[in-house]
Amino acid sequence: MISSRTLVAIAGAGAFIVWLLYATGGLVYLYAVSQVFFATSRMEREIREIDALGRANPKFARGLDVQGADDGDRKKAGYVALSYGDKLHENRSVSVQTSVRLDDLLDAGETLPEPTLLKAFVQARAARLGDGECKLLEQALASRCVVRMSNGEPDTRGLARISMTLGFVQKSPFGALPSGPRAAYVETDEAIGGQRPVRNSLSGLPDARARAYAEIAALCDKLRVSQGNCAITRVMVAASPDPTGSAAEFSARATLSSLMALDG
Amino acid sequence: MRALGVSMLAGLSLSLAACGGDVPSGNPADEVGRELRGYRAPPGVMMGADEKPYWVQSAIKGFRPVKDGDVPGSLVQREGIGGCAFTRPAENEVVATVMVDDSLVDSPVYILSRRLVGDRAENLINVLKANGKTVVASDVTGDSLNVVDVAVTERSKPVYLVLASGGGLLFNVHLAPGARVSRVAVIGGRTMAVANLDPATPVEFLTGDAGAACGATPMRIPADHWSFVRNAREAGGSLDDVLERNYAMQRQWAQWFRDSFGVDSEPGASGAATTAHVLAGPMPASSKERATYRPLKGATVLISRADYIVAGSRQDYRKLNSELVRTAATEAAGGDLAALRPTGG
Repeated sequence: MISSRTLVAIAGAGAFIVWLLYATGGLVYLYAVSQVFFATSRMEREIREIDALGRANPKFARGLDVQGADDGDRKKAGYVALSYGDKLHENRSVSVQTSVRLDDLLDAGETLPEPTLLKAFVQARAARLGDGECKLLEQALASRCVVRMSNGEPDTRGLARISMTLGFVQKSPFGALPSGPRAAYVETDEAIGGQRPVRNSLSGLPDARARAYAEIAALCDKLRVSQGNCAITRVMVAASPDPTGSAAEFSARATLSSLMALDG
Repeated sequence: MRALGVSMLAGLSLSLAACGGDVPSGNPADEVGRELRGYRAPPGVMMGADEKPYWVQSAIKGFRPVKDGDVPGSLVQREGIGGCAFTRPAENEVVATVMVDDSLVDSPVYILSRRLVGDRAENLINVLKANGKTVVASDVTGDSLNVVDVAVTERSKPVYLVLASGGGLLFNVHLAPGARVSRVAVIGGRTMAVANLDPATPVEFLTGDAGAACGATPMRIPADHWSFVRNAREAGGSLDDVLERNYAMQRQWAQWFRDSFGVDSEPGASGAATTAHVLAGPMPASSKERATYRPLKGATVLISRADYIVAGSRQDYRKLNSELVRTAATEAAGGDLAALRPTGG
């Protein structure tokens, strides 16, 4: 049993230590030390997360000797994305570079803001375009889509240059894994709609992208039939407007991944 | 850092003044430093003609540092002169020129431009898109109009006061007994203001792009003590063209000034590159002849056109800034800022 005098003495000693720390700047020191500790913990966590990006899902293709998936001491980005096929993964993305007329960013009844607010306006509407792009992706090849990044910048031709990065989960299943014991990881980079950029009107660019996404999905389906499996790893679509700003050169590329049997 | 420095210097000045209630001891020249375009005087040190330093209490009776609560009684926005020609000085007037680019003393008058609001709205949108947080950028020191006390001690004739700055400043005018300001010309690169004038005093403004279009960009003659000039000399000729451009700009200003006011801008101009107090006229011969300090609190401030102006506390400024930026961002987003938040993944 602790006596009340002992309690008072302990409380007094505690108060003295706090006062001493305060008087000597010790509390500030302890605060600084705790901040450093928490910052270090945060950094360690972030480093672990970044590190995890380079590691494949250990549950994927268990028992299969996959060759061609290594990139130095890590796995290839596409293979890592493939191994997490049912989840959104940083290594699986669609990048879009395009231009739209500023007027086409307006809602019904809206007018363009004054010049000083134009950049904010384009940035805000770029996010909305990202949402719209996700819908296009979900129609063609994605079961889930998120806007990771969207950026917009007005130019002097009355256009907005838009760039966005979308994350997605593929709609079609990957397919069957090779029965083993060995398989080769194969990435193919495909030019969609031909090797050369195609001239399009600005207003026709969303349709051009929708067609490209559908073509990529069809290409992957075809590979799945012939090779047993296919995953869409990366899609890049770009449109460069001509000097008049009325039309653009459109191009699209896709990286498809598959695991091919090396035995029997 | 700058705010801390200003507070310390202001505190030092205040305590010095409080000690004897009067002029601090020591040589004010010891407090003056150099910067790119001339001298930098800390609060408490007043700069007279041709950059001569004094203690502010030597020329202003009852001087005290500006406080947060020194909110002007009224702000009156004034249009520019609509051309390049100010009213010419009359025969019986003496022109007193004050040239200051910056001051280290904030005022409770804040200026916001549409461009600044647009930039901050864009910033808010970018942060919101990236991490879902609504953050409104503000700059209480940068958006505050800095104050320069002007002690007018010239008594021989009515004073035609020319207040010039390459930036934007609020000049607070304090008159010595017998001194009279008959007319004021205000020239500045950005929003300019002048406080505590007699309501009957005519005041004309030429600021911002309108001033630049007239060639009225205030600039002192580059001098050996400027760090910029020293750097140029030590650069072995690589900065000669930049230095020459500065001389050319100064010649343009000098020519415009002579054409406008019939006198040379220098020598004789009071002020410095950075100072919070300027002596326009001779140093008073006795304490009785000093100008009487007039606080900004309750004063009438004449101010050139700006998109948004608020006279008030820091909280008032933050509230206005936040409202403007959020409104602009919401408008940019088509009415729904929340729709910009990331959807995850």
